[in-house]
Amino acid sequence: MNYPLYIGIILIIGLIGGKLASRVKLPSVTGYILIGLVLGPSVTNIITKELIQSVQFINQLALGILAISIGMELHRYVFRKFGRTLLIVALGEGFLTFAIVSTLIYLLGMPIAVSLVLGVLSMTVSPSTVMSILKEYKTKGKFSKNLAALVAIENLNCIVVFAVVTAILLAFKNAHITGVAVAILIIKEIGLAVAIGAISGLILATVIKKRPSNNKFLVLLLGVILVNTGIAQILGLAALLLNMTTGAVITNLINRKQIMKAALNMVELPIFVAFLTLAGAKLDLSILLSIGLIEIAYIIGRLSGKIGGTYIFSKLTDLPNLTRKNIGLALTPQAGVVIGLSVIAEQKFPEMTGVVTGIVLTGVIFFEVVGPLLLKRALINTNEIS
Amino acid sequence: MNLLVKIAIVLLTGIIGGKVAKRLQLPNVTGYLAGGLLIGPSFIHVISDIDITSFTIINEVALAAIAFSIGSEFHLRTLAKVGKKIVVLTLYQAFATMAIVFATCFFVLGQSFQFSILICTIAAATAPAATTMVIKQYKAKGPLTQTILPIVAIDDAVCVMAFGIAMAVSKIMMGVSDLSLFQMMTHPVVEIIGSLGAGALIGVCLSFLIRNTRINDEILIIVLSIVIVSAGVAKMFHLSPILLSMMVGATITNIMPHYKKAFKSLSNFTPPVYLFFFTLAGASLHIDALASLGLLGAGYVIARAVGKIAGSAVGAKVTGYSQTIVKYLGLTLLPQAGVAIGLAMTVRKQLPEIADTLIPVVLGGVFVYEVFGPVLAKIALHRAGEIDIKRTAK
Repeated sequence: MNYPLYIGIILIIGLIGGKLASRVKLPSVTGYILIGLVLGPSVTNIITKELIQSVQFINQLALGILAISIGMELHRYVFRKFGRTLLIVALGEGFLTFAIVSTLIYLLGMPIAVSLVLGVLSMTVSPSTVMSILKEYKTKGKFSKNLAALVAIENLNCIVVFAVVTAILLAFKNAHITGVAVAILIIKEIGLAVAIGAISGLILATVIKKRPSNNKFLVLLLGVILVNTGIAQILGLAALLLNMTTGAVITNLINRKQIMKAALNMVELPIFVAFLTLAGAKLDLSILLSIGLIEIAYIIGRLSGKIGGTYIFSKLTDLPNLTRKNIGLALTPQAGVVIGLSVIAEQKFPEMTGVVTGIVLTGVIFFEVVGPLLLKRALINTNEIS
Repeated sequence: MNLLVKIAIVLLTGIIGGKVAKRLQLPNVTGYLAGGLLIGPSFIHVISDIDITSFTIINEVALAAIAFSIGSEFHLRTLAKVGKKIVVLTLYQAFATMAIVFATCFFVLGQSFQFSILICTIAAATAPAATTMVIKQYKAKGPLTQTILPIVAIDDAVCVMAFGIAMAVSKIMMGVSDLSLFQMMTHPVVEIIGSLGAGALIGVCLSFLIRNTRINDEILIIVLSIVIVSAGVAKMFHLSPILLSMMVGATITNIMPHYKKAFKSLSNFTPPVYLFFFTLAGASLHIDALASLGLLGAGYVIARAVGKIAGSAVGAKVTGYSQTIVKYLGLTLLPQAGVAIGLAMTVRKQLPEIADTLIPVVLGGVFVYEVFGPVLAKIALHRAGEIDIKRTAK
């Protein structure tokens, strides 16, 4: 097959989609996904299933880059300064959202495994969308600063819970595994991922200390992301957790986040455009039509969990009232991370046959359209943009 | 092993190879190639031939990107001044190489006529990639540097043409074709004109697309996708990826006022791609190709070097270039890679009875020239005073 032609075309068309979206004041991300949907197997089939399959590595690279950027928000300074407050809000709200979404979907008659997985996935917040909006409006202030850290903690929490839930579900599938074995499995999954991620982080941090040129560092960074992801695949670990740990280790060891950011900036956009356009192409319209009610439950559950949860749990902290009301609105965008996790979930549970991905991706369309608008509103409400 | 891990191994090997090369004051490219050779089938065999084929897309894109960046050297205004000289010079070195290699194979080594004309046209091929990289790494500047890039590009067209003719002649002599000589010769002409035409067309589209874009990230995506599409189009219509992509670059250079931004944004993205490309190229070299070289191979390697160096010297002298160029141009034109291999594979497809002797010789030559070519290019540029070692030391 003539891959270069296809990939080039995917990039150009994705970009056009992004342009069109921004013309009607939607985030570009939405445009990439929608145009991917149009090109994908369920509409015009220009991007075929085989093609999507064969450019898998773009997805993995994109997710790796995302995860490292998220991890880099987890600086110990953030914890020391806002630690208690942020942890209470993030964990409380996260688990509440998890509970609401899972329950709603289970009550609508979906299998328990699907309900639980969707519950976990609903916890994620899109770091890329939040960051790019904060950047776009050049916000400055306590609210936006807290927001970045909060997003990181929420995603970390979600990934850990994801590992636990999938381990338990897998254990139930093979009935003869004992509780102890499950616990060991979970500890092994998370522990190994963190350990390997930390080693990679240590290596990268040592290299950064030597002040390499941007180009060389970029190559090294991509190499490490790929090694992390590859090892995660071989050992069946969550690549996201691994890469996040790497990011967190680096940011805590050295004070030169800019180098990483500058290096990633050079390659990020084309990779993300391809990634998101392909993600759109994966959407199966026929599944989407059959899951209407569940989709609505998922969206409503997530919105009420995020907005209600942050409001309730921030009562336990000293956050000002204005922040409490708005923080949930700011946490609604959802994009790359959740798509990545849903893909992993489908790989672990093939019997879910695209239902999870379908719901998640439709949710992403909704939250990527509405989320940024809500986030913008929250920023206006808290007077962080004019 | 997992494919991602393999990609990572290739990247990391490249970095280490580059580091070692720098310590030994060799060009990075040589380091990448040597690193690749080490992890390839010749030695450790972490990367197999099958892996290499599965990364073809990266090769295609890298080559297109390199050719595209060479296109920026073709500014009509400067070309009008030196264009004729450069074309004459290119023809001199190409035909001198062909003549000497042909004479060596046919008269000295007693090979068949068909073998000799085919291999002599393959010998004319140069690889733009390695030399371009050396120039970039050392930020070489000067008359020699300015002459090399256009020559490498035009050389590709000359080579395609000459090879096409040689192929037609051989086929007729061996009686395997029922087409007339004229019909067969239209093939290379169509290939060259098609490549240039398609490249110009894509270039116009590109300039139209980025004319109004100011955001750097967006320019990058557009340029990158156009480069990738160029590689795809060349593959689809069996055109020369080098000529086509180069033409895209040349077109925007001449019709856009701010064409530099396109090349600059792409150059941010390409370092990992190039590193991967060269390391992989190293891995695809087979050291056993050297063993089977023998007398014929040695004769070929020496004859090609003599042809390139002497031909460039004479050509440069005749066209009135400075003494530096007369002396050093030939040394920078030695690297050889993909194009030569591609032509050899065409021989395998169309005249398998010649391919058995021809392919090992070409591959052995590529091995020698790909390993030593960049080093010689660096030495030549340095002697010509176009590399400021102090400035690029870091």
